[in-house]
Amino acid sequence: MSFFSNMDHIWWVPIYPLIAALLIIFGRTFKLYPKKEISMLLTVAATFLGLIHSSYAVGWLLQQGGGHITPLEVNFPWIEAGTFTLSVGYLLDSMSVMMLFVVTFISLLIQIYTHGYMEKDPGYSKFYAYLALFNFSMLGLVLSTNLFQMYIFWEMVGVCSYLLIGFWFTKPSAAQASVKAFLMNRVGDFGLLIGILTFVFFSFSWWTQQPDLALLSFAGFGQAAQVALENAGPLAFGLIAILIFMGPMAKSAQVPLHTWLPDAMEGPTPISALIHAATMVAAGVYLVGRVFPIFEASALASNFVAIIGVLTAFIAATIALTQVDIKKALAYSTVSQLGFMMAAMGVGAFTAGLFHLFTHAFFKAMLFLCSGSVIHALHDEQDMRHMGGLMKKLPLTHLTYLIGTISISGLFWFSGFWSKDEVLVGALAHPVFFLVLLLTAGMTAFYMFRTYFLTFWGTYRGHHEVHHESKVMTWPLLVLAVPSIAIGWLMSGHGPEGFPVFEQFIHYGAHHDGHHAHDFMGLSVPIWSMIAGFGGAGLAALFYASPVPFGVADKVRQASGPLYNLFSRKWYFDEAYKAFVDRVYLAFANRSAAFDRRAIDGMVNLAGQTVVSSGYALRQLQSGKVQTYIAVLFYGVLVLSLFLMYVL
Amino acid sequence: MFEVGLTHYIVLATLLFAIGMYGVIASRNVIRVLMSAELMLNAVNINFVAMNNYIRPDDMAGQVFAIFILTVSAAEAAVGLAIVIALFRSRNTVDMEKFNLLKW
Repeated sequence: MSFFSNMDHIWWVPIYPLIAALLIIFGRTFKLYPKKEISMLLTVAATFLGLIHSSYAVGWLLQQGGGHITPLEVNFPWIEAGTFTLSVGYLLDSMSVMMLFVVTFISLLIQIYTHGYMEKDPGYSKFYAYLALFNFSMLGLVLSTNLFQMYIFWEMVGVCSYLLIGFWFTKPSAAQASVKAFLMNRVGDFGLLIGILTFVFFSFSWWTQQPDLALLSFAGFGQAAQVALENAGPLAFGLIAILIFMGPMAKSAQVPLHTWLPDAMEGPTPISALIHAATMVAAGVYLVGRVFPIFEASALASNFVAIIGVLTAFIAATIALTQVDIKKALAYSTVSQLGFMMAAMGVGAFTAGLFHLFTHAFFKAMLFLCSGSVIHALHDEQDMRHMGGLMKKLPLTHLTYLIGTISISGLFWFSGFWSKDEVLVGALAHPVFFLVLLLTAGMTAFYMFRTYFLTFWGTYRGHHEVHHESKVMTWPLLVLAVPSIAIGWLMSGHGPEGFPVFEQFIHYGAHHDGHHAHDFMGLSVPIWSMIAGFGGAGLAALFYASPVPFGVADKVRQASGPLYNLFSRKWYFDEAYKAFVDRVYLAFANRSAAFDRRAIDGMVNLAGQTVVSSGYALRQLQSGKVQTYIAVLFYGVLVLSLFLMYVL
Repeated sequence: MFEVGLTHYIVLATLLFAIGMYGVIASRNVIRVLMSAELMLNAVNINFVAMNNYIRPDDMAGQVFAIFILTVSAAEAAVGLAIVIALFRSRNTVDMEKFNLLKW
């Protein structure tokens, strides 16, 4: 046996941050720590230990080589009732190793960056406690062996997200955004819970016959999905799958449950990078990947996933075209990229979806950290109309932002190119999906270069003096720049000989080396995506960075009046929700409340009132005069004696 | 000559009891109520002694009971009058109608 044979220690990865979070909380409560930096050290140390374990797990995975990987699954019974047993445990396979590494790696860098960003904030220690708690939940989610355990951690990351969005809760917009995120996720999680329960309902007898499988464990989903499909019929099964998909829809901000994510940018920027760009929002894609057999078994559900994904990618990209807040633009770009991933899942391109998740985590985390650096340098200014010309003042931020922009735009050789290309190849079978996604890729390039030019080119349009970038904030950017540039190429299978190929490890069903058709209308997909990427970038340059100010952007905006309004008002989703709540929901709720007040409460009050009024009547007899009582007693005895004497 | 029998005693006791009862019920003065209660107790005592004498002359139970009642009523009068004094100090009256603090 070799160095990497024993991976039983992997469950420590989520435990470290939990311990760190508890230590920070107790330390704060009992004022044990002389300096607040101890919170940072605890959190960073916990994540660093986790990263060591995760790297070890990567070694374990690589040693098994491509092809068949034996996952490590350990279960402990948790709730036992008759034939019903729920387990908790940890599952180590290629997917969880990938996510473990991404989460710990990006978390570590962001936690270091946070020190620079939050240094002057009074909630410094609390912020680190939340970060550590989030890490625990997210890593627990990644390592879950069964859907139910995952659901628990799923809710926990939701809580952490809520806490962190509302971190500056004295700001009304942040408080509202956190509540919005929580409620939106409740809608999705409600569907997810019902989906899980109905799925268990239709497959429970099969699970109980499997002595080796814990209930709802991912290893058994392939067969369980078939059993449930037979028991429930294709239509009901498709609906179950769609209900399960509602969870990922809310968590990964898919249309129409996406509106919370842009608002979540009210939280501190490191949070936007870690939770609302790189890791937690990708949990939805991860969950879909985990229960992929369910979607594979139902054409209805997988088409639904694909349509939602494509719609999300397209709608979010159109909104991102018009945003002036740099974080909002990045947020919509995140939504759009999550749409890409979901679309890939929906069309069955399992590997492509997770590959895009993988590369996106690096460059999007980096882009957000760059925006944080810009915002920090400009004294919390987020409006791109008040930026510009920051290239010289923030050289490292500029460089890394440019790398991120190129990568997300899918320009040749950078990470985003390879993964987006795979998604597009996966969508080839459905020409409509392919065309919309291609158009979206072009728009991605356009709006990302738009933010880049507006922020870093031209002349400075703001009023604040520009800070210098601090080292603690720039070097995490530089570290993230490396995978943002190269990880896509290295792991795409076109990289250097002997480098691990993503697809060999993460694939669904039998792995096949043969490549499928790559052509669309005579041109191969990479060419198409290059046309879209460079087209979008060039257009952005023409609009926002041409030496001669054409004013093209303004003209286009005026020419496309209603369309521009539609995009900049975010397709009126918020307005529609508000109208729904005001007109339909509140009207119904008010009627119900009135019925409750009048009819239901009326009956209860009537019963109470009867007792009270009869009591009032009887109370009159109690005069409180002792002599009256004696008189009554005496006459009573008299009457009773006469009765006894003469009647009986 | 007119012979005094058990009936006379019972009539006397009944009248005495009725007078006491009237006093207890109709008086507004606490002292009078206490005094009337003594009358009722004494009516009972007369009954006890008379019945004992006429019905079971060999027995002493009635007399013993009468002694007990005298003792207890003496104690009761002492306690009752003490309460009345306390009441008078705090309320400045001995009128039964005015002692209505516990009334709803």
